[in-house]
Amino acid sequence: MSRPGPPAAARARENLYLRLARQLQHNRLMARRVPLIASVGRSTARSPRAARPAALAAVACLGLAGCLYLGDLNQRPSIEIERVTETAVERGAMVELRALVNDPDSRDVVLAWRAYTCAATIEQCDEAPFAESSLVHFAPLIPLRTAGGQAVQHVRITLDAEDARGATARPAQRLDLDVGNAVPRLTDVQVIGKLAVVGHPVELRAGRSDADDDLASVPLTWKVFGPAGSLPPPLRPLPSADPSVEAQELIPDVAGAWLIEVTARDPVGATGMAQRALVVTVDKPPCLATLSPPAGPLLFDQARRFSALFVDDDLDPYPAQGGGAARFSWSVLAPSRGPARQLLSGAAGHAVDLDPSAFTLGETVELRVEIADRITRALPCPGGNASCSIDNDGCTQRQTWRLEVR
Amino acid sequence: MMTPPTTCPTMRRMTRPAHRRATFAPAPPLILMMLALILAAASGCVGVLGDSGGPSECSLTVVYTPNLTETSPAQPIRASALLDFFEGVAVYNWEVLHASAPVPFTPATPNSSAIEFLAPEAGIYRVRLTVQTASSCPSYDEDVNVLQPGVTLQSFRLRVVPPGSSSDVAPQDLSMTIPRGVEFAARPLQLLPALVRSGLVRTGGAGIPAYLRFAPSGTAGEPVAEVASGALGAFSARLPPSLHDVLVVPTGDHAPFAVARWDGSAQLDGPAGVVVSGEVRDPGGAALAGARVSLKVASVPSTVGTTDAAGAFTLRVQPGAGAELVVEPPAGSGLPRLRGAGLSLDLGQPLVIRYSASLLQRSIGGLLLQRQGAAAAGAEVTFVAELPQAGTIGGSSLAGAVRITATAGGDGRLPATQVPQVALSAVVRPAAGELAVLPFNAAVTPPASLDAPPMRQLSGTVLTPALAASGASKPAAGALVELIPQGALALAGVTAISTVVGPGGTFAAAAAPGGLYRAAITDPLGRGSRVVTAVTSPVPLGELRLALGWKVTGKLLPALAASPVRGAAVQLFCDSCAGVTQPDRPYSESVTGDDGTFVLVAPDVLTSANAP
Repeated sequence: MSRPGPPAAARARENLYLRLARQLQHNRLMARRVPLIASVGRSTARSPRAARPAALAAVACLGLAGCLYLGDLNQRPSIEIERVTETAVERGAMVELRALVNDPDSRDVVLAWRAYTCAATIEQCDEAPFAESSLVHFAPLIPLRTAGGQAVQHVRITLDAEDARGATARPAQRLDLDVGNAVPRLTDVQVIGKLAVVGHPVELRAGRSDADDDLASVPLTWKVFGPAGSLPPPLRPLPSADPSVEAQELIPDVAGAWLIEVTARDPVGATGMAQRALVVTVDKPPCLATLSPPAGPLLFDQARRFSALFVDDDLDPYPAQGGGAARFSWSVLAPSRGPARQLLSGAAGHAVDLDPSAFTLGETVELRVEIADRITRALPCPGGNASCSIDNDGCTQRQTWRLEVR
Repeated sequence: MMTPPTTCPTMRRMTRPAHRRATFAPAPPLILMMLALILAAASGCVGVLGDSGGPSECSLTVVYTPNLTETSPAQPIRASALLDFFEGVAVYNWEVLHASAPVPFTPATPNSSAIEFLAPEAGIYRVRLTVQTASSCPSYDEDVNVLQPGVTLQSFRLRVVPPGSSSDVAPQDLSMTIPRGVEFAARPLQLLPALVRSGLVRTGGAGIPAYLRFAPSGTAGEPVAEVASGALGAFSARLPPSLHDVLVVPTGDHAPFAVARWDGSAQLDGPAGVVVSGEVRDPGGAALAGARVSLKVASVPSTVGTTDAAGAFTLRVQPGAGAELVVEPPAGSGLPRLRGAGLSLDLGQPLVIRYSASLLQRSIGGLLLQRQGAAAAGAEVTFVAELPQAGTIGGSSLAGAVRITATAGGDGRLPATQVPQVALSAVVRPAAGELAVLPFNAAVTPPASLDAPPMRQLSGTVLTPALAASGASKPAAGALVELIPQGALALAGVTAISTVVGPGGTFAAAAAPGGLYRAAITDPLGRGSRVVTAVTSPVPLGELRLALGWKVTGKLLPALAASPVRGAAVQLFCDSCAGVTQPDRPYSESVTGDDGTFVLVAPDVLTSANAP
């Protein structure tokens, strides 16, 4: 905190005295035409300590000589530090100060501002100032770190003044300021993807900003709270093109409600924290929703296209704009091609074209499609079953056309 | 000039029904009129005469002048809002967007109930209007199509297949007219509901199990339903409410029959058909036992007859003109399948089918199948050929298709196998997933072995269509490539290879050396339309560009259900094409989203790549 300035009444009183003193000086100047302002380092300057005996001697001499000439006695300048604006002092920001100077002799006063950074306490200041000035206005930019590399938490401002005759202001002014700290902020904390599924990576992203710290010194800490029974595996860092953003990969091990907590901590210890809920589900098998033609017995008397037009799945539907992971497997069982079901190698798409002339007239051919998503699951049904549903819920992963070749 | 959404109050308007009633009601006595006016004023219905009913719901329509399908860039388009069943002060807030950017407009009336805007280019313009009134009025938010004068219109067939779980909508074909060269927002398409049609399949008065295929009458579309009847002939099918042509194929020895323009009310009674007899003779003139024979008369198939030891067969068929014949030789005979179309047959007389005497057989037992020089145990080979003339029926010649498959033993050698002495192609499968096509001339002394070389890469780079402005193309990652077998591979019944274009726009698939393919490329992301390459062997194809295409958006509205149809498959076909032969693959296909909307890509059918 900055030291409070003088009360207003006292300041007004000082101003009044200052005006009166200046008026007196003006009157004397006009009467005796003595130069008022001496240049710095002028040899006539005397120390205040020497002023009183000299004045007495002068008075004595004057008395002896029968005439009285009284030379002006130099007085110390007085100084005070004034905060121009009372805004919070923060690292990386300027603090605006002004010197209030009063030299009763109206001599030229040389100011010396110095600003020192300090760490955790005001006693831990750097030896060397980080800013100096001799101007009335002083606006140092507060560094982020001390010379020792610690976060700046205090700033000490000193102001010295010396008038043209070497008289220095007493006491020297000192202003100790507590430096505020901008709390790091978490931005854009998100879970990438529509759904989180057990056993499959989920990308977690969090950005952070800090007004007075470089982001390299504001690390993120990730905590993952899984549901009961979960032993969350450690997060795996993912590359991020944006240095303000960190990405992590989580592979949930249990379905349920998860909580992701991200904390950003700056060098001073200030923290920003954000939480995101994550609902993890078990990846359900895909469903063969629309087949063309519908599965079942068909007369196979012309070339036809057999399609799985729509696969309903949370993660891997077909068709998918982004290219899902629905996988199709086609096979035929035809007496003319042997007793075993033959996989139609290469037929990995959602449709196959078949021509009855590739089979024997009158035989019944089974054309089968089976689907899988990113998880390979063994179908629990015997191979002879025309359809199969893993969860026995009407969502089928296998369908079969029985084609009578004509 | 850009005008912000306007907020101009309008004067109170009388409701349209009030006008109508005021205009057509018989003139009441003066005192009653005065009383009515007082009551009306007290109820806020100034000017309503004889209006005894409550207020109707506000409705909003927007009309355009001129017709949006015939405009030009210089011509201002006027959009006028018409409010019905509304009283009070209205504030009109308009918004016009094109390509997601706001389009400037100016008020055309003092209260902004109409605006004018310029459409500098053809395409979809989104017009939004909200009307603030004391009572609740609906908002307007629709895509409107602005077309240049003289635009070419292209006809397509839209095939809609509802999801299996949907019982409200039947599969159906809809006609779509789509302008060429511009994105297009189709009007919401009202789907026909699915009506349950039940009945019996009968022959000779008795119900019989059968396969039934329903197709819309008078169209070239695909079947809308294919069902099986029960053991007693009962069937049930979900069909659109229209007439259907029905093909009935009974099991057993009953002749299949067709019912034209079936309206769903009558039972499906099939005539018994006629019994056709005949015989099949091999090249030597001997009876050929075990051959299967079928006819298709007027597109209605017969039963399948099998020859006995004397080469004789019988089958049942409905009489008619124009017959197709198929003769499937017995396995191991080494004979080709015979096929004839457009035959003029006297079904009352025995049919005599003869294989050509020149079709001599050759035994190739012991032929060694190799895989890159090594014997390929368990390898499979299919010998194929197309023979323009392989037999006769009456005075008509029959074409032949050779497709003879044999499997090598543990030593890689074929067992006793007969093939015709003609130039054949051998489609060798030396191992699972591997193929090779090799010439095998059985007309001369054939080679002692067939050595399948390794698979070859059929590769290429797929790019989006070149932009008109810059000519630039981008890699079409995610596009689908189907390598469709041609020639010998197709004759052997090899199915297409599917692969996906990679991130750099490249694709590669292992293909059969010696085989021929066409690459059909479609893009599920809608960046271009389907393109089909010329027939090629497995080689690098270089750069391939998707054909020009334009996005078509639409929405399916079920006729009976309140909620939109989600998960319905929509496929865009050539309008005049039927069946599923290669050119008739859908140009584009998609699935409706939760709100029933879909996005397809309409091709430029004027270009050769997309010509049907």
